[in-house]
Amino acid sequence: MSEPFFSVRNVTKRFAGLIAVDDVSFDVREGEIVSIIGPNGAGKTTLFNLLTGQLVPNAGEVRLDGQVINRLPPDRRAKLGLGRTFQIAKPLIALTAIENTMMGAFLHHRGLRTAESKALAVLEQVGLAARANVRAGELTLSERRRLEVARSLALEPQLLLLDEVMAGLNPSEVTDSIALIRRLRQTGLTILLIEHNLKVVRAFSERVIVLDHGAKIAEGDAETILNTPAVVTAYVGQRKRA
Amino acid sequence: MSSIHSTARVWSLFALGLLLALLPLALLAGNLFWVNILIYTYLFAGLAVAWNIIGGFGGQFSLGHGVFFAAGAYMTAQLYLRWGISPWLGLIAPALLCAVVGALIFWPTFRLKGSFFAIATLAFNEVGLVMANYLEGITGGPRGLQIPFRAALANMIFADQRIWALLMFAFMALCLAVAIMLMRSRLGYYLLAVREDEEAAHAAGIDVTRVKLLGTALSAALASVGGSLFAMYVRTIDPPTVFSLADIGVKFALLALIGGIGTITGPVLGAFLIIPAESYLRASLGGGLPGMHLVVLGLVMLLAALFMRKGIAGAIEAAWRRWRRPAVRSPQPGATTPASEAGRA
Repeated sequence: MSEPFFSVRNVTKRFAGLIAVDDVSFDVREGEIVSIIGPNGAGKTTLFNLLTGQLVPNAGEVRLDGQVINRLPPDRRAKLGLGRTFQIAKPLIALTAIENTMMGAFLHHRGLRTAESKALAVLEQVGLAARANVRAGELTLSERRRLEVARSLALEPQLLLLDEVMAGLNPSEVTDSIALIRRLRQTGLTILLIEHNLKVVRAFSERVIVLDHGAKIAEGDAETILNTPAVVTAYVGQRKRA
Repeated sequence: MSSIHSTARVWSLFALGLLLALLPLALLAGNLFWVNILIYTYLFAGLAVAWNIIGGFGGQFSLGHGVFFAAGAYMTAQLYLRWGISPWLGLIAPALLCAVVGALIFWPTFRLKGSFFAIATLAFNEVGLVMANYLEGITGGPRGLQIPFRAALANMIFADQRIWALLMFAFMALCLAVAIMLMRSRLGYYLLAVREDEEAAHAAGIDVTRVKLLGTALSAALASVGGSLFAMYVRTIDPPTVFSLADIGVKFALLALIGGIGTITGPVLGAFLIIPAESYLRASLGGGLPGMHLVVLGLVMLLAALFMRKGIAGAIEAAWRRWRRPAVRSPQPGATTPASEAGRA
C-alpha cells in the first residue's frame, strides 16, 4: 500500500518528568473516521495538540500527505489542509457567527464577498445559517461547538480534527452532531476525533484508538475494542468508579 | 442578506462624517483661539485613529506610539533644517522608517499579553526620551529644534492658521480612509481574530505575528506623519514635548478608549470631546488653579470608564439598536410589541 494519508510515528511529549504522550503511532487513511478514546488524563488532548501544532513533540514524526509537519506552527498546518476544533470552544465572542466563520474562509478566499459567501455556505452546512449575524458570545453551548466546526470547515481542510465536539450536549444535540459528522464524511473529508461518549464512537463503528497514561493500548474496530479487557479496565472501569 | 455594508454606503457615510467634522471649522474660522483648538483636534483625531489600528482592532494596547510620533517630528524637522528638504517629502522617509523599524522593535514585545505588553511599549517611550536628550547631534538635545518662520507652501509653514486646520483635517481624513479600507480587507478581519483569540486565529491558518507586524507598521507610519505635521505646525520641538506621556504617548490610547476602542469612528469622537474640553478648561481654569483642568478631565475619564465601557461610539450604537429593534421585529407574527420591547431595553 502507498504511504498513508496521515501518519503519526513514535510521537512522544514530556512535560518535565511527566510523559504525557508516550511513543504513539497510528495511521489515518483518506476518507476514514478514526476515534481516539481514553480516560481523563490519558493524553488525548495533548496528542491532538501535537498533531495540530499547538505543541511540538520531543520525539517522533507527523506526516500529512507525505509531508513532515511536526515542526510547523499551527497556521502553516492549517494551510496544508488540517482543520481543528478546540475542546473548550474558542469563539471570537465580539464577532458574529459569520465573521467567525469568515476567518477560516479567508484562507482560500481573499476577497470579503467571496469569503462571506463561503462562510454562509458552511454555516448552512452546520445548521447555523439562521444565526449568522448573532454575536458568538450570545450563542448557546451547542451552537458554539457547531461554530467551532464551521470555522475549521471554512478552511476547506483535508483532515478535520474534532476535540470532544459532543461534550456537554444533550442527547438530541448529540444525534444532530453525529448526523453532521456523517454528512461531512460523505463529502470525502477525513476525520479524526477525540471522543468521550461511547455512543458516538459506536455510531461511527470504525477504527478506534485507545490511549491510557499517554500510551496507545489498543487499536481496532469499535465493537472489538470496546470489549477488550484492557480497554474495559482502563476506560470503562474508570467510568464506573467515577 | 450580506452583513457587509456596500462600498457606496460606507464611503458616502465617510463623506458625510467629514462634512460634519468640517462644520465647526466653518463656523469658528474667524476665532483664532478656536481654530488652534480645532487644529489639535483634527491632528489628534487622526493620531487616535492611527493608534486604534493596532491598539484597538489588533488589541495590542501600545503605549509606545509616542516614539513614532517623535521620530516623525524630529526627522522631518532635521531634513528640512539641514538639507532644506521640503517637509512634504520629508514626512515620507520617517513614515517608512517607522513602519519597518517600528515593527521590528515591537516584535519581541508581541510575546507579551495585555498590560505586560502595554508596560513594555511604555518603556520604548522612556528610552526614546532619554536618547533624544542624549543624542544632541540629531535631536538638538534638551534644547530641541527650532524651525524659523518662513511662510511658504513648499516649507509647509503658513501664516494663515486656517490652512493648518485644513491640513490637519486632511490628515484625519487620510487616517480614517486607511482604517476603513483596512477593516474591509482580510488583514483587518485577521487583526480582529488576533485580538479575540490568538490560539483560535492560529488554528484558522492566520500567521499571528505577521498580522501584528503589518498592523503595527501601518499604525506607526501614520503616527509618524502626525508627528511630522505637529513639528511643522509648532516649529519648536523638544524631548519633554514629543515624548510626553500625558499629552502624546498615552493620549492616543486614551482618546480611542473614551471614544470607543476598536471602532472606526470612536477615536474621532474621543478627540472631538476631549481635545476641545481640555484646551478650553486649561484656558479657563488654568489661570486660577493650575492643573485644575486635569482634575476635571480625570473625572470625565473616570465617569466614561465607569458608565461607557465601550466608549461614546458604543453608547451611540446601543442607543441606535434600542431604537431600531422594535421596528424590525414588530411585523413578525407573535413577536413582542414595540412597547414591551422598549420597556425591557
